[in-house]
Amino acid sequence: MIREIHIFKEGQTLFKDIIVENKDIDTDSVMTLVASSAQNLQEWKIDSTEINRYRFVYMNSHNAQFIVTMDRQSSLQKVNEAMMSLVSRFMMVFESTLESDEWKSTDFTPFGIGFRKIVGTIPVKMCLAGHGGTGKTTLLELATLPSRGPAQEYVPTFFGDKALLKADFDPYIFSIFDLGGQDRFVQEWGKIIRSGSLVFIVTDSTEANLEWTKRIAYPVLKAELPYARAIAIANKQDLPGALSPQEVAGKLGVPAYGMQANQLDFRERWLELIRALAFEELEFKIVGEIKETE
Amino acid sequence: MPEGLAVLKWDDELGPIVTIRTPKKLKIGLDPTTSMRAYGIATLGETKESQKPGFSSLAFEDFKLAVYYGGLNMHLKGLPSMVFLVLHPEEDPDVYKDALPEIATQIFLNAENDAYEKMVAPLYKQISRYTQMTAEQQQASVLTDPVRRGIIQILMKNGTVLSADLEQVIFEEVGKKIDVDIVLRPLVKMGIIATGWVEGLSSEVIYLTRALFVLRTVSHNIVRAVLESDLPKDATESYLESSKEYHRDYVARLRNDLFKTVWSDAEEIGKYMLDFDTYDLIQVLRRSPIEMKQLPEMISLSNAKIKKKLSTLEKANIVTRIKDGNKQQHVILKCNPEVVTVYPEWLIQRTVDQYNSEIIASQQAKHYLEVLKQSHPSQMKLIAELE
Ligand SMILES: Nc1nc2c(ncn2[C@@H]2O[C@H](COP(=O)(O)OP(=O)(O)O)[C@@H](O)[C@H]2O)c(=O)[nH]1
Ligand SMILES: [Mg+2]
Repeated sequence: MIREIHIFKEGQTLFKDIIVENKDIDTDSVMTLVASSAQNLQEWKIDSTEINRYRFVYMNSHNAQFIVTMDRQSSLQKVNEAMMSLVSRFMMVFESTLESDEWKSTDFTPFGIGFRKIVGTIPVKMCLAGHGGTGKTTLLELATLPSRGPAQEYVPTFFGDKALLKADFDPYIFSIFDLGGQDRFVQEWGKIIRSGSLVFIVTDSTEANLEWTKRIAYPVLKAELPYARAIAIANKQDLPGALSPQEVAGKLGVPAYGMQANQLDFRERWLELIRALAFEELEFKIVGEIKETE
Repeated sequence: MPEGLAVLKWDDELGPIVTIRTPKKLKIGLDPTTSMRAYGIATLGETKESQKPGFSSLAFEDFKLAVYYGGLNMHLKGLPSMVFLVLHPEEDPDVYKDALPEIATQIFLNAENDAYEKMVAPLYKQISRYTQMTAEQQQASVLTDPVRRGIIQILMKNGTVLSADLEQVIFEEVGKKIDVDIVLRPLVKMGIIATGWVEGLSSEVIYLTRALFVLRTVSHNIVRAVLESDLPKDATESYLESSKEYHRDYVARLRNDLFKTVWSDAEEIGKYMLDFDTYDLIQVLRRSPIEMKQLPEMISLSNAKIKKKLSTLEKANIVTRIKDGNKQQHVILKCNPEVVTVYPEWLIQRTVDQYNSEIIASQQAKHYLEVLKQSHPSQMKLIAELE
């Protein structure tokens, strides 16, 4: 997932678009640092550097420095390609502007539309992780097949499933990976979840399930996606004896949100959770920093 | 006949994606849920250390899949890693057990820069022929592929080599980095090589168990058939004379430069054997001399095509034509092109020498001698008898 772009020339900002802000670092000083590395790059060469859960991909063209911030574990190759196409696009319009002194007085904001279009070509990868029967497939279908309504019968998912979600999440689109939750499939998750940005830890809000999640799912998630953002879905809130989202959050060490995935009424809420996690507008946890409490 | 063929690769953001399919209108069997399943079946339990590429089949309600998977390395690199056939529910996927790997290997070997994309449609058109490939044709396909031919050449010289070294040599010879594993797999299956781990060595060791090449032999039943035929005496005599002379010359060339003679034949004759029409022609001619006018009926090819194939084979000194008293043309094999495998006796001494001069690790040499002992024809016969 691409989060930001900054374009500098001679220390001035030509253009910036911040889709999701990097709250936990000092963006300005990081930008100064990265821009000076970028200045030393050959024309059309791409390089990148990582800080915490972010990766900064940068390039130098016509003495302008292009810096794209992405989630650290997203697919670098795709962001490199995106960088190429966005710099080409930029140069198509502004090449001559940059070659004269004109750039000092030019308004570059129209580039924003092109930038966001390119951002939308790389799906934000989200993974539904949890034990079999907790509601992952139901959530996948609730999001992507609203007309059919979530299936009520339980068909265990073999290995995994996936679907593309295009909703009102501009500029992002999402690819949802539903991970087969039977024990024999958990060891396979690594093959599926690489490059994930978002993890939804799906539970059926029972004690036994939370135990399973911590024991079986956590090690795999922490090993594979330490920099991804996570929230827990406290599903099946309608069932008697369901632990509350607060209780689930306490036991899992991850903010938890209540859900009833088999109810079409919950679609809005589910989509809002996806959106809010992508835009970091709710409480979440970085997978590698999860500490199991109780 | 399958519904179609498709190539899949793994994309981290999108999951399995179909990179190319044929025919273009193929839809069934390509939805993401099915592709995930195919991936699941193929990769289940697989790790980097123990990859499990190979053939598998899946049955769904409305279709079946015959899948050939290239292994976790290709999967992780985002290279095309799965080739599958979509089949009717009644079709038996096992029919394609040998044909699909053959096609998939060619696709995988041309994965870089998407070179394989142009090959997919023509390969698919040949699929039913591939299912009928004889053992000899499968061996010929090894000999026509420059990479696998190169491997056999190296092994016929040295007997045993480290997989990592082999990779390097191939890289130097064909100019591209190749997943040795994919290339070797069919050779293991054919019983031509064996692989194993030797303590203390960092990469897998490869051993030759049978040498593979092409020879032009004298076909005794053809000679007998010519002698017993009603062909005029002068015609048969001139055939026998020219055939004899050809073989004399051939043997001289073998003596003179064994390597060059054998390998240039392997390349050329291998190609004829993989051309299904030409191979049909050779097969028919191996049985007996045939009157030209009977050929179209026997191999259901047009006259023009037959003429073309025959003139190629004539130039290659594989067939010859003679006329009888009624001016009818007869087509006869001048020599019998055969793909042969032989026990590599010479490698026993060679291995001992390499061991003595410390060119190969002692464990590796010992292991190879053991492999050679076990694959010795006498042992094979013993095993067959026991079974
Ligand atoms: N009561 C109740 N059942 C649910 C809820 N969400 C899903 N289910 C049911 O739980 C079963 C398992 O769901 P599924 O999505 O297949 O589980 P998965 O193995 O995690 O993919 C199905 O029968 C669903 O209809 C919920 O919120 N409440
Ligand atoms: Mg499921």
